[in-house]
Parts: sequence; structure tokens; C-alpha cells
Amino acid sequence: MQNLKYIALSFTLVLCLLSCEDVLKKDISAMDPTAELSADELIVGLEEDENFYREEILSVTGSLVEVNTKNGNVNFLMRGNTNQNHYIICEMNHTMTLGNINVSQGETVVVKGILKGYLNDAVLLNCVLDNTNKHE
Amino acid sequence: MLLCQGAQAQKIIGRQGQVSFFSYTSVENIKARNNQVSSIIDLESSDIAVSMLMNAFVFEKALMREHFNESYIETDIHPKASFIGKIMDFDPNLDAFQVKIIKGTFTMRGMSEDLEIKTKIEPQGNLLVLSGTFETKVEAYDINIPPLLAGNIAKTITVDFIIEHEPYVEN
Repeated sequence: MQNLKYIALSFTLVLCLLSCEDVLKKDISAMDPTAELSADELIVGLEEDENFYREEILSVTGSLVEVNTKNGNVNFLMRGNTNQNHYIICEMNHTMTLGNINVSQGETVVVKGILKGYLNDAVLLNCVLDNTNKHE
Repeated sequence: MLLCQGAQAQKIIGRQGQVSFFSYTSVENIKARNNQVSSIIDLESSDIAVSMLMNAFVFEKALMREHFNESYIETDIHPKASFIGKIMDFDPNLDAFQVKIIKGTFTMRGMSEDLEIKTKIEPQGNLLVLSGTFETKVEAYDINIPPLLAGNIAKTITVDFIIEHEPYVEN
């Protein structure tokens, strides 16, 4: 009986810890994206509907325009072929450093992250390079 | 300097500004940071427009973010906040830092508050960096805080910002 109590308590604790894990900090590499989109498709979708895939994990393919470390995070700025004035801003997972990036400016990259919305640019947080997704 | 690049630099843009807020009480300190704040300044008119996604604030604890998004700001209904204003007596050609007042209206959750924000404006090579701190009252935004949690959230929130602007070049 005592063992059952411990098991129930442990189970509850694990459930609580899992549910309390911050989706904006945990590694989403192994999580399936809701959709796979090109940078152009994402911008067009957001211009038509600001709630387009909001808060969903997306895999986005685009041309890497800039890598910076503004505000203490590594950030990727991507864009598509037709929407040159609007970027996809990807704030990378906090574990990423400039030292462990093996992509360069001008390269087509696939980034997976949580879409927060659209200002002048699309904003994704907690992003990772999506090596499993090879679509263009 | 940034502002001497002709007609193309009439507008400057900040794509990744940072806005942080702090709530200090004896019960709990709450801090959050939004690194993807957007800003456009028209150098000719000194008009400034800042916008931010309210669901892009990152907190120390997931539960704080949940309460902020779902209960207090209701970010699904009010996803953005904005500040529309004018930099008073701004000289865009001055190649040294200047401290100016920005007068404008901050809108969040459909509620607006007129603010006057003392702002440091500093040219840094190709950039124009705006930074400052101001305070705002929670009651101005009709935020419904349950009585049980009222002691956890300060009545006055301190807001810090720093936004780097670069020339806006339309492609």
C-alpha cells in the first residue's frame, strides 16, 4: 500500500514537471512541426491572416540573410524569393552559440520554431535547425 | 553616419528591439523579456511607431508566461501592443548622443495611455540606438487580477527598452 502511494506521488510529480516545462525553452528538435512552409508561403499566409499557424511549431525553408547575437541570443534572419522586404526572424534555442552553427549567409536553411506572429516580419522563437526536413 | 545616406534613409527600422518589464513585490519578483520588438522612425517628421507581439515575452517560469498570456493580457484576443508617438526636438543630424522626450500613446488590450518617455538616442556607426526606462500602471489597462494574486503583482510596472535602428531600404 505504501509503495502504491509512492508510485502515485511520483507519477503526479512527473506529470507536473512535464506540464510545467516551458515550451519556449525546451529542445523542440524531436517534435513534429504542424506544417512545413517556405518563407514566402509563411509571409503570404500571415499577411492574409495574422492568426495563421499562431503558436504552432513550423518548419520554414528560406535563404539565410543574417546571423546575429542581438539581445544575448543567436538569431537567424531568413527571407524568401518574392517577399524581400519581410524577414523570418528566428530566435534560436538558448543552447545555440555562434560556435556550433554550420550554415552560412546565402545558404538555404530549414528552421523549426514556434510562430509567435507577424509585425514587419514573421517572428519564431525557440528555433532549431531542422536537419530532418529537406523540402524546398 | 546613418542619417546622411540620402532619401533612402528617411526611415529607419528596428527589427529586433528588446523590451523588458519588471514587477517587484514582497511576495514575488516577475521579469520578462521580448527580444523581437519592431520600430520605425521617420527622420523627417520624428514620428515613431513601435509594435510588439505580447505572446513573445519570455519569463523565468512557464507558469508566469501562462498567466500573463491567458489570464492577464489575453494574447489570443489582444496579440499586439503598440506605441505611436513623436520624438520632441529631435535632431537626426547630430552625431552625438542626445536625451529627448518621446510623447505618444501606448495601447495594450485595447486600452490606451498617454506617455512621455525620456529616451537616450545614440548614433553607433550605421545604427541609431534608442534606450530608456519608464513606468506604467497596471490599472490603466483594465487587467483583471484575482484578489488572491493581487499581492504578487506590482501596481506599477517598470519597463526597459533598447532598440537598434538601421536604414530602411525597400527592395
